[in-house]
Amino acid sequence: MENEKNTDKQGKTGGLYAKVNMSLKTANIMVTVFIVLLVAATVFIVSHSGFTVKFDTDGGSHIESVKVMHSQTVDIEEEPIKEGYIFTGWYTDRDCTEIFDIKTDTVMNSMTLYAGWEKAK
Amino acid sequence: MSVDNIKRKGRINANINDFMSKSGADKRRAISDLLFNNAMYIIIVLAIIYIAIRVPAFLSVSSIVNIISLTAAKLPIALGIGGAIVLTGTDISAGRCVGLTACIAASLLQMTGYANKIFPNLAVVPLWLVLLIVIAVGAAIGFVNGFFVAKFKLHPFIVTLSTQLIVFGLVLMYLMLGGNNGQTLSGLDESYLSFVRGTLFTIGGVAVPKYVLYAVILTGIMWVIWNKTKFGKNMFAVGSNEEAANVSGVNVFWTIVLVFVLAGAMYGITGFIEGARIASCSANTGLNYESDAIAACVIGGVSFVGGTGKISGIVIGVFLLQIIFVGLNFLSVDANMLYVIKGLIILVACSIDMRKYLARK
Repeated sequence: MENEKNTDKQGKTGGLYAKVNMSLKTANIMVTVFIVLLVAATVFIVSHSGFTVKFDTDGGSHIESVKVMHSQTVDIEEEPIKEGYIFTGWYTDRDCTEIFDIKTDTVMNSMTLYAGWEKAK
Repeated sequence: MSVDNIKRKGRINANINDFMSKSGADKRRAISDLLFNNAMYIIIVLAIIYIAIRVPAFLSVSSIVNIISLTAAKLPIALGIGGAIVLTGTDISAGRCVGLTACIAASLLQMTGYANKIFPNLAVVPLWLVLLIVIAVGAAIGFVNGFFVAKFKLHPFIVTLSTQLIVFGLVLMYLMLGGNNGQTLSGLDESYLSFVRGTLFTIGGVAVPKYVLYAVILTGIMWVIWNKTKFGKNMFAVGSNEEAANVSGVNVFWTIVLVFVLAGAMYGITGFIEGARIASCSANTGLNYESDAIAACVIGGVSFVGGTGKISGIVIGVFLLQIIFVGLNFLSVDANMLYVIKGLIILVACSIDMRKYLARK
């Protein structure tokens, strides 16, 4: 009776891994493979790093998105053109309330910049 | 030298003597155990060294304060999920729960006269009342999770998967209320923003936000609950062996329910802090927060084997993970790609956790 209870108890331990029946050697190989995957993916991603800055010109001339590194400025000379409108600058939001100075403001993450327009008189 | 130090030195010496007395094969085994069990820490330390060399700004005061603040913001949710993992379960509704409570907090605390107010006629609700409401909402969701897990022995993965979707539906419906039409909630009241984001103190001209203090308080409370209360002891007993706990007179049902209720309350507090921290809440708020929290817990030694885990481990886990995320941001790694790395980190952390269990068996 006592013994039966003990085996019963042991059967319930192990939590999520209670039914895992794997040798330590296999587990070592598994861990190694995952670590290699993690390191390889990280190395690949870091070597292809760079934040993408997209430009939404709201119907104006198209501007290609650029790749910018952390804490650098967006380096584009080109200004968008839209018939009947004057370009007022780049903004970080669609409603054009938060201005983004392309010469001095630095990039901290991928983002989209929205062109601000004023109707030409 | 303090007593603690002498004790630690004695323990290290004992370990070394133990190691020296082993045969060749055992020594190899001990070394491979050491390397495998700490592989995650080794990878993280190497990554930190690499990032610090490539981008010296990574170790600047503002960057370190940023890492600490992020750790504080992500800590309460991890402390909640930790309990579910100690019970060999998990909780994948956590992130959405944070999203819902953040939206509720933000909607009740928009400033008066703001044009896009969700409830235009509502005055600013007192902070303490909002905090109580979000804790109650979180705890209610936690109760549902815990009830189904404890009563019907459903796996927490299944239960929380369904509550995750239900809560997401509730967030979307909530954001449609009062003519808001699913818009992002912003224009928060100054009292709310300063209560959460206000300056606690400044180091070298960099402000440390107040929510760091709240995270410290919550960590203290959770430490007491886990280590000094009967409920905490019961939680570990149920986690390591439910049958045995039941036989020795632990109320398994209420222990499981309370673990999830406590976790839900933690998500509510996280939502309250998160609402003001990001200051613009939408249906996307809280997305995938649970994956970071689960990864942090497993890295910090809270095992899916059940019944093992420490609050200090969770704190270290969250901290290490945030260091890596901030470091990768310094290396200009896009947020989209960061998800791939996060996924692989979870895979590695959990496989190491399983290997530890197999090595002990």
